[in-house]
Amino acid sequence: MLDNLRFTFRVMLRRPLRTLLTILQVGLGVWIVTIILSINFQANDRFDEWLTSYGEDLASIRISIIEEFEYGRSESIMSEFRLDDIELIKESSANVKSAFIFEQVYSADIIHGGIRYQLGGLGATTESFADAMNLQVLEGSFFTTTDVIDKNKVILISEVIKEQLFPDSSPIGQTLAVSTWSTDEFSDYEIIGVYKQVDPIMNMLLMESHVLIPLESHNPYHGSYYSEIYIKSLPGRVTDAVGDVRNLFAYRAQNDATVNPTYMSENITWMKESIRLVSLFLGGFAFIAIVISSIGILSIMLVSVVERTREIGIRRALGASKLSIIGQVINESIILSLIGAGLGILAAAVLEKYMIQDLIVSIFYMEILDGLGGLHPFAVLISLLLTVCVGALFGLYPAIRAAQMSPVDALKEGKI
Amino acid sequence: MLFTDKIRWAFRHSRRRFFESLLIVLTIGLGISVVVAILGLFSHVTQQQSAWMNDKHFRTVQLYSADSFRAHDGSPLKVVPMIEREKVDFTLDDLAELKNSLPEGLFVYIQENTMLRSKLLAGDESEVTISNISGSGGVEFGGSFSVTMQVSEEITEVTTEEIIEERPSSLTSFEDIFETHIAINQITSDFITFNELELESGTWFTDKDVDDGNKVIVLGSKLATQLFEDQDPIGKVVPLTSHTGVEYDFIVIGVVALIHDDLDESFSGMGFRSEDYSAYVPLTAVERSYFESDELTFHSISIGVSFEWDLGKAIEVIETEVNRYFGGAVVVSSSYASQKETEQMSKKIGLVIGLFASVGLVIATINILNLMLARVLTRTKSVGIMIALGGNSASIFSEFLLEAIILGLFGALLGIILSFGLAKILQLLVLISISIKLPQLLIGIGLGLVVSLLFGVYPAYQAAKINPVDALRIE
Repeated sequence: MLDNLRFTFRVMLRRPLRTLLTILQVGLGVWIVTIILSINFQANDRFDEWLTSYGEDLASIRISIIEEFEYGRSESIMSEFRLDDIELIKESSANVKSAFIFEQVYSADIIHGGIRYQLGGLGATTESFADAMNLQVLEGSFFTTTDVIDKNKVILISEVIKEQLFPDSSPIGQTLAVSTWSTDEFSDYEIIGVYKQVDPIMNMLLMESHVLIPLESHNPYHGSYYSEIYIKSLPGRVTDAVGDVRNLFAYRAQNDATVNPTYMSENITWMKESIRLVSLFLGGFAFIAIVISSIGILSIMLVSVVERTREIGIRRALGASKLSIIGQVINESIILSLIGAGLGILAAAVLEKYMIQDLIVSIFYMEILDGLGGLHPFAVLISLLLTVCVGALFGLYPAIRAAQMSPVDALKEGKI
Repeated sequence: MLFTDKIRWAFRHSRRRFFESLLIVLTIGLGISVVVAILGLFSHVTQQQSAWMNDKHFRTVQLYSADSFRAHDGSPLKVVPMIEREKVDFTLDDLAELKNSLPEGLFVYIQENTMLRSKLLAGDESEVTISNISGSGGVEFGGSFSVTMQVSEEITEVTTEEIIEERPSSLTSFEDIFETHIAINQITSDFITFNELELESGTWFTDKDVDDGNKVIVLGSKLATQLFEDQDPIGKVVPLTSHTGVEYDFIVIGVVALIHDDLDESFSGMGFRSEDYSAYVPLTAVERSYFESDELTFHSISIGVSFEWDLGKAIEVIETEVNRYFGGAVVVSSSYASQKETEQMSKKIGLVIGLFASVGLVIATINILNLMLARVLTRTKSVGIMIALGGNSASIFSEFLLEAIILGLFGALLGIILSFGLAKILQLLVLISISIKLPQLLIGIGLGLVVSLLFGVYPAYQAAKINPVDALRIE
């Protein structure tokens, strides 16, 4: 075996330029495959993680009229829900774990230390939000049912805000002056907690909320009516829960309006689908690149076999079996491929920071994939397997051709 | 040796190693097909993008009062200067002043939009007015759009607070509103010039109409047909009811030529009605009933930048002028920065996709280099004999190069054929359209030539410098 390897290497070194070029060919193919597979696998992993930790049991309900047009659809949403409905939902459905209302205020200002800041976003919500969204409260605690009902002026700030406003001290117990909708009317809120900014995918729901306050503690904008209620079901019973809630509110849907749900998992599935399309698109290039480099191996091995006709003839004449000739050629092809693969994976590993993170992630408008990086182990494994297969498969034909040569003819040809 | 002879020679050599030549052609073909398909995709995207960028909408700059204007850049915390700023309300005088001081090619106008109910469309006297429409939503991939709407059935002069307190009692859908209301553009004259709105019949209103607030109306082409069918609409009366329930009679003075003749549906795109269903009235036509023209104020002024201007340069000029005139109390808002960003973004995307797409071609070139070198090696002896018999190295060089070029050209041809197939597959699989036209095909053939030429040179050079003595010595 060791002799076999040494022999192969010696053959390869006999034509160093050719060997180098062949390795380069395979390397490039493997490089592109590894990178594209990495992106695909990592994105999928991330989405699955999100799905299990947030999305699976989460849905929202709204009463609206949906109109379908030739080029799309429009939805007119009614504001039909009240704060009391949360209790109503919990009482009437056994499938619902919790329900909450979340209202995004896009423009809110705070004053701290005599400086006025524009907030990236403010969320007004109810007590079940923290639990339903797996919000991590780092310091202090989330507000309670009493805070919501009494419209207490308490506030939770995100880590990011804490870093900027209270870099050294604990913010708990301090006050912030908050105004919503950028009016000049400020009211004092007591800070009761700091939370970890959620995974960017939840931007779908949290937008860029950097502070959270009890729902009706600021001036209610839509009166006390809300357009959407979020429900978190008991594990795996989200469709049942949605069904219950739809029945519960069916009477409120007048005229052409209906009670319509949105499942959080639909959004994630949609994102997965778009990643799949991108991967498919790029994967197409990778596939063609691999095909081209396979053909490269095939042709170069053929040439090499023809060149070595005489040598092979001598070996056969000296008693080498057909099988050992096949083995020798395939060996060479696999080793060439493997070295190429190693090179390609190495290049992918070195360039991945630049390739995967900076370019791919930002260009496909998938900011949600920020922080991806590194090669995915599966991607590396598949690339390696693929190369070995390609090496063996495309070495096979030249190997058989070599083995089929009759030693007499081969020696008679006698050139080179 | 004649040139044709050389070609025949090169062909013979390729034929002798038919299978190997086939493989070379195949690799180059595959490589080129991907590049051609991607070039087709790029050209399609660039075309769409430039059409989009050249849309008048993206060449319009807005002036707002700085006190209420907030650019939302998504940063979690941004310091807001605590200077008390006076609110600027734009007047018709400001408009005239800016018009005078800004150079040619910048069209200064005020545009306000409203939906007014018309008896002609509603067909009855049922008394429903829209008290508040608050819109929110965005366009997503699937093309959905949502809007929140509250409708009250009372005809009262509702104040803003009352609307907020009011409980929405019923809901009217988009379609209902479009069936009973007309989308009205309240405009000044530069809007017409900038948007190059052509008339089908009649005339446009004049600056004087705008100043006097004359109740004249210019109808969109499809709206005119909807309202008056075959009759000549000019001179007819269109009754419009305002939010507060007051009715005005507008006289039709013109009909705009059809803008979207391809959109037969009354709804374009995402559920919005096409421009052909809207109407144009002088900016002050409704308000002048209550106010003198110098009492009227507007919350923004628009400036349309004509195509003779570079948008970036125009914005600089506008900013300087606006700062001089309003002294920092007014901000200039445009989509220029985000446009630039989009442009940059698509360049980056192009780079990455191009990079990925060309990997195949690079591999194919390495392959042709490799195989041509091998060919030189196998033919060392015959080359040696040729040189010994008096062949010069130039002819040897050209012989090998020609062989490479012929292979490259065949590869390019195959590539072009394959690229059409690839375009079809991509269209089916990833739902993107690709337009492969002559320029892409020429680039494809050019690439085949360049690749084979570039990577045929070295092997040909190797062949040309074979030493006949050494070559013949090889057994």
